[in-house]
Amino acid sequence: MNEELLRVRDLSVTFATRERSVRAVDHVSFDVRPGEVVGLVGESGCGKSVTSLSILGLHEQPAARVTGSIRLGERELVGASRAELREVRGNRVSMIFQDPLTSLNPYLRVEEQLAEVLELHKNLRGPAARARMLEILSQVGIPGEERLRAYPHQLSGGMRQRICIAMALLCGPELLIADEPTTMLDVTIQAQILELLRALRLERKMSILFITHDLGVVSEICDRVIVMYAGRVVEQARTRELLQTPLHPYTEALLQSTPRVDVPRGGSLHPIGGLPPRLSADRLEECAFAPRCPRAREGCRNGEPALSSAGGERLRRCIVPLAEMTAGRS
Amino acid sequence: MSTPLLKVRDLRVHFATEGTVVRAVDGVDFELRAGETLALVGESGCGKSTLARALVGLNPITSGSAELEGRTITGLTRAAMRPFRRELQLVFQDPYASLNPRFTIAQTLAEPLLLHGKANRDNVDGEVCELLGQVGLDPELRGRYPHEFSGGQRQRISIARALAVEPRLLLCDEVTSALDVSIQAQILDLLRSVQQKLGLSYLFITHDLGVVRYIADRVAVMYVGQIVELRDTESLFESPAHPYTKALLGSIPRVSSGPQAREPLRGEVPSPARPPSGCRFHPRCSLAFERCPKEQPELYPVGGGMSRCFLSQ
Repeated sequence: MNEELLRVRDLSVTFATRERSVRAVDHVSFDVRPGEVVGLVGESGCGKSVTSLSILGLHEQPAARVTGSIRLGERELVGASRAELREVRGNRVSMIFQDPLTSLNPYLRVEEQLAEVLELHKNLRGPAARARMLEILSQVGIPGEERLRAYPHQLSGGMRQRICIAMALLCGPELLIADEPTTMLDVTIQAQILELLRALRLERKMSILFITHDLGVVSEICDRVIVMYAGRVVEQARTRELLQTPLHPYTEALLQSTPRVDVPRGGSLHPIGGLPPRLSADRLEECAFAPRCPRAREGCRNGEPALSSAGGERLRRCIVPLAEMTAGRS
Repeated sequence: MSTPLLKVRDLRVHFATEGTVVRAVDGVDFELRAGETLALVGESGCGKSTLARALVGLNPITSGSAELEGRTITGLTRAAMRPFRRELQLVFQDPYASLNPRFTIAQTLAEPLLLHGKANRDNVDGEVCELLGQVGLDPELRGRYPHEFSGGQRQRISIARALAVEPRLLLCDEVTSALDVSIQAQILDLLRSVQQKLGLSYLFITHDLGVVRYIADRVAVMYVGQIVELRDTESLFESPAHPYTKALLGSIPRVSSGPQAREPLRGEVPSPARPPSGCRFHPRCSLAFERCPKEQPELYPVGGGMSRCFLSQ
């Protein structure tokens, strides 16, 4: 059976620096099904963006060594040629980034940027291209021809992100990779963009790999969540389950350290002490989170725990008994 | 009633650009009590950072005044401002840009101590160690340079530098926005405990309402250069009075519920160079009526504070 759109298996990305090797992504496996929104969650340096860049083959070779497998449908992307990748990028998989200003060319009008995509990928020019541009702009909530003539600096942050989304959708990709697309936006604009992505996903039955550090945003848009720490997947679950009963102490700690608008003052935060580990290419002698884990015990120091089933589709990389994690929760 | 620590009256900061005047801060009044944390919230361009910078003299004030314990601190010469700089310290968002990369941490912290006469050459090292201890850093690390520290540690150093001169008021401008949540929580805890120990006041500027609810006693919500609502924190979150505050609170994604059926606020924040007539929020307000575009509402008293909306009248 092959119901996944994207199938990532044992993906590792290692960067060689002058002094040492850094494994930013370490044997990561996950799937994205057609029409599904999967969240890739974690803090700075956890490997979430490096993972997503691997899908598009955007790492500089040979500085980055990518191993494992990334299959998009029937096509293997790890080790694919430039020509093969070019066929995939934009057409089948496209990406939007955190900062829409740096992803747009400041010298080109919106129209020219969109036209380039259509010309290169669809060989579409002239009135047909223009009609397609107007159609896509109205889909992202920018009606009228006026914006086609604008330069990026003449647009607001929210508007620029809409343009980036429009560009990403021009060729009707099956998978959209969204790397912190609302992080730089104000909350009211973030709400608009999330609503737009939700609507587009339903209309186009498109899958989204949504990379974020914000568990509130995850709750709004993701069907499933993959939590990463130190380059590893530490937990994977459906969104509601993960947010209500986290089964990995890192997920739990992340939730407890987030200040929340729905918790009255006097509520306490539980910061995670210490810092994430320095990444290297060596095997770990212990659980990567153990030095900061409030639930750590003797067994956590005896080698890294495997990612194992925690019932149904849930996975976690932890040896703390499930009953202990769920105690005191509904 | 005791004099408030900081009293801001009708403060305006206008910038003249080619042919237009940007009214970044346009008539702001508030008081800050000793030992209190007042949060200043709002979206990009609402004027919250400009206001803080104006208070420490980094932006010129167009009109209005600010008093620190009854002493005017606006419109002063550099020399006259100097004694007040000690009492008012600013901590910035980006701990990478706000520390001198060529100074060791010891040098960074010694400079304000020596400059303001808080220490001399003989005892400055001991003072530096004490400051580092106060912000939870190992004094042994004081010979290192900023690039050897993580973002959270650098923010601790920035806070230590601000505390060096024993200020009364700390202006915190998005101090946790560049940090990961687990580290943000550490810094928020540090700020809370420092406040309890030293009796400091905070003017806490942030766009993150979760942080506000955690740390603030009172909240001022700004929109296009003006305060639209000023309330006790719990009153604001439990029963927001101004339609903009309601929309802002409604826009925040929450961990506890699924996708919310909500109507996102339409349109975008207007430019402070061309603020709308009457109530500045009326073009985006679902409750606006005929009076709103014509007259400018004042701040009317509501439970636990004030709201700039005719419906609160």
